[in-house]
Amino acid sequence: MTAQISESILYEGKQRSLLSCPLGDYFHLSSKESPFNGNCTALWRGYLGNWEITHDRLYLISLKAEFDENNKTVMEDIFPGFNKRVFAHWYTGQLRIPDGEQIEYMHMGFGSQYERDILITVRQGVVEKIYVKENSTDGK
Amino acid sequence: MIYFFIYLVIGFTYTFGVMVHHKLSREESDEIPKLNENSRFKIIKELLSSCLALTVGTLIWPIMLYFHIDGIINPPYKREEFSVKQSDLLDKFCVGEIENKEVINDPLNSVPPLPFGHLNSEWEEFKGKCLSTKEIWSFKAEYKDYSNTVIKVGYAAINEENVVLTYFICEDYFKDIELS
Repeated sequence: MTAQISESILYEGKQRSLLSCPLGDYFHLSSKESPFNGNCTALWRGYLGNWEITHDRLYLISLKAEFDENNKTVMEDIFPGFNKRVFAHWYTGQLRIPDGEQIEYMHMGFGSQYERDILITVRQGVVEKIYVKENSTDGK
Repeated sequence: MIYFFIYLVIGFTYTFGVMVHHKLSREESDEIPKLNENSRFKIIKELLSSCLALTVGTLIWPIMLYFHIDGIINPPYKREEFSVKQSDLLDKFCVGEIENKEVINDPLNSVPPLPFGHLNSEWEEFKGKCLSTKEIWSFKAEYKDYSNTVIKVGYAAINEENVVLTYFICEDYFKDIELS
Protein backbone atom coordinates (compact mmCIF):
# COMPACT_ATOMS: atom_id res chain seq x y z
CA MET A 1 0.00 0.00 0.00
CA THR A 2 1.32 3.40 -0.96
CA ALA A 3 1.85 6.15 1.60
CA GLN A 4 -1.38 8.15 1.80
CA ILE A 5 -1.81 11.89 1.39
CA SER A 6 -2.77 13.38 4.74
CA GLU A 7 -5.79 15.41 5.73
CA SER A 8 -5.10 18.94 6.95
CA ILE A 9 -6.01 20.65 10.21
CA LEU A 10 -5.91 24.16 11.58
CA TYR A 11 -4.53 23.73 15.08
CA GLU A 12 -3.36 26.55 17.33
CA GLY A 13 -3.48 28.97 14.41
CA LYS A 14 -1.24 26.87 12.20
CA GLN A 15 -2.18 24.72 9.21
CA ARG A 16 -0.80 21.21 9.73
CA SER A 17 -1.06 17.68 8.39
CA LEU A 18 -3.53 15.34 10.03
CA LEU A 19 -2.75 11.64 9.91
CA SER A 20 -6.25 10.47 10.81
CA CYS A 21 -9.47 10.28 8.81
CA PRO A 22 -12.46 11.21 11.01
CA LEU A 23 -14.81 11.39 8.02
CA GLY A 24 -14.28 7.68 7.38
CA ASP A 25 -15.98 7.00 10.74
CA TYR A 26 -18.97 9.04 9.63
CA PHE A 27 -19.44 6.94 6.50
CA HIS A 28 -19.01 3.81 8.61
CA LEU A 29 -21.53 4.81 11.29
CA SER A 30 -24.11 6.28 8.95
CA SER A 31 -23.82 3.37 6.49
CA LYS A 32 -23.80 6.04 3.78
CA GLU A 33 -21.63 5.18 0.86
CA SER A 34 -18.74 7.55 0.34
CA PRO A 35 -19.34 9.58 -2.85
CA PHE A 36 -15.58 9.68 -3.47
CA ASN A 37 -13.58 7.34 -5.65
CA GLY A 38 -10.06 6.15 -4.98
CA ASN A 39 -8.50 7.00 -8.34
CA CYS A 40 -4.97 7.29 -7.03
CA THR A 41 -3.02 4.77 -4.96
CA ALA A 42 -1.79 7.62 -2.76
CA LEU A 43 -5.35 8.61 -1.87
CA TRP A 44 -7.60 5.57 -1.62
CA ARG A 45 -10.24 7.57 0.28
CA GLY A 46 -10.59 9.90 -2.76
CA TYR A 47 -11.04 13.15 -0.82
CA LEU A 48 -9.10 15.69 1.17
CA GLY A 49 -10.71 17.07 4.28
CA ASN A 50 -9.70 20.25 6.06
CA TRP A 51 -10.36 20.21 9.81
CA GLU A 52 -10.09 22.63 12.69
CA ILE A 53 -9.78 22.33 16.44
CA THR A 54 -11.49 25.27 18.09
CA HIS A 55 -13.62 25.66 21.24
CA ASP A 56 -12.08 22.29 22.25
CA ARG A 57 -13.99 20.62 19.45
CA LEU A 58 -13.23 19.02 16.14
CA TYR A 59 -14.82 20.54 13.05
CA LEU A 60 -14.74 19.69 9.39
CA ILE A 61 -14.42 22.99 7.53
CA SER A 62 -14.02 21.92 3.91
CA LEU A 63 -13.96 18.86 1.75
CA LYS A 64 -13.13 18.16 -1.86
CA ALA A 65 -12.64 15.24 -4.18
CA GLU A 66 -9.10 14.74 -5.42
CA PHE A 67 -7.82 13.04 -8.59
CA ASP A 68 -11.40 13.03 -9.88
CA GLU A 69 -12.23 16.09 -11.99
CA ASN A 70 -15.85 15.05 -12.48
CA ASN A 71 -16.61 14.72 -8.79
CA LYS A 72 -17.91 18.06 -7.56
CA THR A 73 -19.06 16.78 -4.15
CA VAL A 74 -18.82 19.41 -1.44
CA MET A 75 -19.44 19.30 2.30
CA GLU A 76 -23.08 20.33 1.98
CA ASP A 77 -23.84 17.32 -0.23
CA ILE A 78 -22.95 15.07 2.69
CA PHE A 79 -24.17 17.36 5.49
CA PRO A 80 -27.17 19.23 4.03
CA GLY A 81 -27.54 22.76 5.43
CA PHE A 82 -23.93 22.92 6.61
CA ASN A 83 -21.59 24.48 4.10
CA LYS A 84 -19.09 26.23 6.36
CA ARG A 85 -18.45 23.99 9.31
CA VAL A 86 -19.56 20.60 10.62
CA PHE A 87 -19.11 19.48 14.23
CA ALA A 88 -17.58 15.98 14.11
CA HIS A 89 -19.56 14.65 17.09
CA TRP A 90 -19.52 11.14 15.58
CA TYR A 91 -15.78 10.88 16.04
CA THR A 92 -14.18 9.21 19.02
CA GLY A 93 -10.52 8.38 18.62
CA GLN A 94 -7.05 9.79 18.51
CA LEU A 95 -5.97 12.47 16.05
CA ARG A 96 -2.32 12.36 15.05
CA ILE A 97 -0.69 15.60 13.96
CA PRO A 98 2.96 15.18 12.94
CA ASP A 99 5.44 17.82 14.06
CA GLY A 100 9.06 18.41 13.10
CA GLU A 101 11.10 16.73 10.39
CA GLN A 102 10.29 13.35 8.90
CA ILE A 103 12.72 10.85 10.46
CA GLU A 104 11.58 7.69 8.71
CA TYR A 105 9.63 7.24 5.52
CA MET A 106 7.28 4.29 5.28
CA HIS A 107 5.64 3.43 1.99
CA MET A 108 2.37 2.51 3.66
CA GLY A 109 -0.66 4.46 4.88
CA PHE A 110 0.28 7.04 7.49
CA GLY A 111 3.23 4.92 8.64
CA SER A 112 6.00 7.55 8.23
CA GLN A 113 7.54 8.81 11.45
CA TYR A 114 8.23 12.42 12.41
CA GLU A 115 10.22 13.97 15.24
CA ARG A 116 7.08 14.41 17.29
CA ASP A 117 3.41 13.49 17.17
CA ILE A 118 0.78 15.72 18.70
CA LEU A 119 -1.83 13.20 19.84
CA ILE A 120 -5.29 14.54 20.54
CA THR A 121 -7.83 12.24 22.15
CA VAL A 122 -11.30 13.19 21.02
CA ARG A 123 -14.53 11.80 22.47
CA GLN A 124 -17.71 12.43 20.49
CA GLY A 125 -16.03 15.37 18.79
CA VAL A 126 -14.84 17.01 22.01
CA VAL A 127 -11.14 17.22 22.84
CA GLU A 128 -10.41 15.21 25.96
CA LYS A 129 -6.63 15.11 26.14
CA ILE A 130 -3.61 16.42 24.22
CA TYR A 131 -0.07 15.18 24.57
CA VAL A 132 3.11 15.30 22.56
CA LYS A 133 5.01 12.11 21.84
CA GLU A 134 8.70 12.35 20.99
CA ASN A 135 9.72 9.80 18.37
CA SER A 136 13.04 8.23 17.55
CA THR A 137 14.00 6.12 14.55
CA ASP A 138 14.46 2.97 16.66
CA GLY A 139 10.74 3.14 17.50
CA LYS A 140 11.20 3.90 21.22
CA MET B 1 10.86 -48.55 -8.30
CA ILE B 2 8.06 -50.11 -6.27
CA TYR B 3 8.38 -47.28 -3.70
CA PHE B 4 8.10 -44.65 -6.42
CA PHE B 5 5.00 -46.41 -7.75
CA ILE B 6 3.45 -46.43 -4.23
CA TYR B 7 4.37 -42.72 -3.91
CA LEU B 8 2.53 -41.95 -7.18
CA VAL B 9 -0.53 -44.05 -6.23
CA ILE B 10 -0.83 -42.24 -2.88
CA GLY B 11 -0.36 -38.90 -4.64
CA PHE B 12 -2.93 -39.69 -7.30
CA THR B 13 -5.50 -40.90 -4.76
CA TYR B 14 -4.94 -37.93 -2.44
CA THR B 15 -5.05 -35.35 -5.27
CA PHE B 16 -8.12 -36.95 -6.81
CA GLY B 17 -9.87 -36.88 -3.42
CA VAL B 18 -8.99 -33.21 -2.89
CA MET B 19 -10.23 -32.31 -6.38
CA VAL B 20 -13.55 -34.13 -5.92
CA HIS B 21 -14.04 -32.45 -2.54
CA HIS B 22 -13.18 -29.05 -4.01
CA LYS B 23 -15.53 -29.59 -6.97
CA LEU B 24 -18.44 -30.64 -4.73
CA SER B 25 -17.99 -27.75 -2.30
CA ARG B 26 -17.70 -25.29 -5.21
CA GLU B 27 -20.92 -26.55 -6.80
CA GLU B 28 -22.73 -26.02 -3.49
CA SER B 29 -21.62 -22.38 -3.29
CA ASP B 30 -22.14 -21.56 -7.00
CA GLU B 31 -25.77 -20.45 -6.98
CA ILE B 32 -25.74 -18.44 -10.19
CA PRO B 33 -24.66 -20.41 -13.27
CA LYS B 34 -22.39 -18.68 -15.74
CA LEU B 35 -24.54 -18.18 -18.81
CA ASN B 36 -22.16 -16.49 -21.19
CA GLU B 37 -19.41 -19.03 -21.32
CA ASN B 38 -19.31 -21.39 -24.28
CA SER B 39 -20.10 -24.81 -22.76
CA ARG B 40 -17.83 -26.90 -25.04
CA PHE B 41 -14.88 -24.60 -24.42
CA LYS B 42 -15.66 -24.71 -20.70
CA ILE B 43 -15.61 -28.54 -20.63
CA ILE B 44 -12.27 -28.70 -22.48
CA LYS B 45 -10.81 -26.03 -20.23
CA GLU B 46 -11.94 -27.84 -17.08
CA LEU B 47 -10.69 -31.20 -18.37
CA LEU B 48 -7.24 -29.80 -19.20
CA SER B 49 -6.91 -27.96 -15.91
CA SER B 50 -8.03 -31.07 -14.00
CA CYS B 51 -5.45 -33.25 -15.80
CA LEU B 52 -2.74 -30.71 -15.10
CA ALA B 53 -3.73 -30.41 -11.43
CA LEU B 54 -3.86 -34.22 -11.09
CA THR B 55 -0.40 -34.63 -12.66
CA VAL B 56 1.21 -31.91 -10.57
CA GLY B 57 -0.59 -33.07 -7.41
CA THR B 58 0.51 -36.69 -7.93
CA LEU B 59 4.14 -35.53 -8.05
CA ILE B 60 4.18 -32.95 -5.25
CA TRP B 61 1.48 -34.30 -2.92
CA PRO B 62 3.64 -34.17 0.25
CA ILE B 63 3.84 -30.37 -0.13
CA MET B 64 0.08 -30.18 -0.63
CA LEU B 65 -0.44 -32.43 2.38
CA TYR B 66 1.82 -30.20 4.48
CA PHE B 67 -0.22 -27.08 3.65
CA HIS B 68 -3.45 -29.03 4.13
CA ILE B 69 -2.47 -30.13 7.65
CA ASP B 70 -1.06 -26.67 8.43
CA GLY B 71 -4.41 -25.15 7.41
CA ILE B 72 -6.23 -27.49 9.80
CA ILE B 73 -3.84 -26.85 12.72
CA ASN B 74 -3.59 -23.08 12.10
CA PRO B 75 -6.89 -22.11 10.48
CA PRO B 76 -6.91 -18.69 8.74
CA TYR B 77 -8.24 -15.80 10.83
CA LYS B 78 -11.94 -15.28 10.34
CA ARG B 79 -13.35 -11.89 11.27
CA GLU B 80 -15.99 -12.19 13.93
CA GLU B 81 -19.48 -11.10 12.90
CA PHE B 82 -20.55 -8.21 15.15
CA SER B 83 -23.64 -8.73 17.25
CA VAL B 84 -25.03 -7.17 20.42
CA LYS B 85 -25.20 -9.78 23.18
CA GLN B 86 -27.42 -9.65 26.26
CA SER B 87 -24.32 -9.13 28.41
CA ASP B 88 -23.59 -5.90 26.46
CA LEU B 89 -26.88 -4.29 27.48
CA LEU B 90 -26.60 -1.50 30.06
CA ASP B 91 -29.84 0.39 30.83
CA LYS B 92 -33.42 0.39 29.63
CA PHE B 93 -34.79 3.60 28.07
CA CYS B 94 -37.88 4.81 26.33
CA VAL B 95 -37.55 6.68 23.03
CA GLY B 96 -38.35 10.07 24.59
CA GLU B 97 -35.63 9.70 27.22
CA ILE B 98 -33.04 8.83 24.59
CA GLU B 99 -34.08 11.69 22.35
CA ASN B 100 -33.76 14.19 25.21
CA LYS B 101 -30.42 12.79 26.32
CA GLU B 102 -28.81 12.56 22.88
CA VAL B 103 -29.53 15.98 21.37
CA ILE B 104 -26.20 17.34 20.16
CA ASN B 105 -25.52 20.98 20.93
CA ASP B 106 -22.70 22.99 19.49
CA PRO B 107 -21.60 26.55 20.34
CA LEU B 108 -20.89 27.20 16.66
CA ASN B 109 -24.24 25.78 15.51
CA SER B 110 -22.64 23.35 13.12
CA VAL B 111 -24.83 20.38 13.91
CA PRO B 112 -28.60 19.99 13.63
CA PRO B 113 -30.07 20.32 17.17
CA LEU B 114 -31.64 16.86 16.90
CA PRO B 115 -31.02 13.54 18.63
CA PHE B 116 -27.66 12.22 17.38
CA GLY B 117 -27.09 15.33 15.24
CA HIS B 118 -25.66 14.40 11.87
CA LEU B 119 -26.62 10.78 12.55
CA ASN B 120 -30.29 11.67 13.09
CA SER B 121 -31.55 10.01 9.89
CA GLU B 122 -29.94 6.71 11.01
CA TRP B 123 -31.62 7.11 14.43
CA GLU B 124 -34.99 7.74 12.75
CA GLU B 125 -34.48 4.62 10.65
CA PHE B 126 -33.71 2.61 13.80
CA LYS B 127 -36.81 4.03 15.53
CA GLY B 128 -38.93 2.93 12.58
CA LYS B 129 -37.70 -0.65 13.07
CA CYS B 130 -38.46 -0.51 16.82
CA LEU B 131 -42.23 -0.05 16.59
CA SER B 132 -43.04 -3.68 17.44
CA THR B 133 -40.21 -4.23 19.91
CA LYS B 134 -40.59 -4.52 23.66
CA GLU B 135 -37.77 -2.36 24.98
CA ILE B 136 -34.79 -0.27 23.97
CA TRP B 137 -31.55 -0.69 25.89
CA SER B 138 -28.27 1.17 25.70
CA PHE B 139 -25.27 -1.07 25.04
CA LYS B 140 -21.50 -1.05 24.98
CA ALA B 141 -19.96 -3.96 23.13
CA GLU B 142 -16.39 -5.09 22.53
CA TYR B 143 -15.55 -6.44 19.12
CA LYS B 144 -12.33 -7.96 17.78
CA ASP B 145 -11.54 -6.31 14.46
CA TYR B 146 -8.38 -7.99 13.10
CA SER B 147 -5.62 -6.84 15.46
CA ASN B 148 -7.67 -4.24 17.36
CA THR B 149 -10.42 -4.38 19.90
CA VAL B 150 -13.18 -1.99 18.93
CA ILE B 151 -15.82 -0.56 21.27
CA LYS B 152 -19.26 0.00 19.83
CA VAL B 153 -21.78 2.07 21.78
CA GLY B 154 -25.42 2.55 20.93
CA TYR B 155 -28.97 1.38 21.47
CA ALA B 156 -30.51 -2.03 20.89
CA ALA B 157 -34.14 -3.06 20.50
CA ILE B 158 -35.15 -6.32 22.16
CA ASN B 159 -38.28 -8.46 21.78
CA GLU B 160 -40.47 -10.33 24.29
CA GLU B 161 -37.89 -13.13 24.56
CA ASN B 162 -35.15 -10.56 25.31
CA VAL B 163 -33.50 -11.24 21.96
CA VAL B 164 -31.73 -8.27 20.32
CA LEU B 165 -33.59 -7.57 17.07
CA THR B 166 -31.79 -4.52 15.76
CA TYR B 167 -29.36 -1.89 16.97
CA PHE B 168 -28.09 1.60 16.29
CA ILE B 169 -24.43 2.51 16.80
CA CYS B 170 -23.50 6.08 17.66
CA GLU B 171 -19.88 5.55 18.76
CA ASP B 172 -17.23 3.23 17.35
CA TYR B 173 -13.63 3.49 18.50
CA PHE B 174 -10.50 1.51 19.30
CA LYS B 175 -10.41 0.29 22.88
CA ASP B 176 -6.81 1.43 23.40
CA ILE B 177 -7.85 5.09 23.49
CA GLU B 178 -9.59 4.35 26.80
CA LEU B 179 -6.20 3.39 28.18
CA SER B 180 -4.23 6.31 26.69
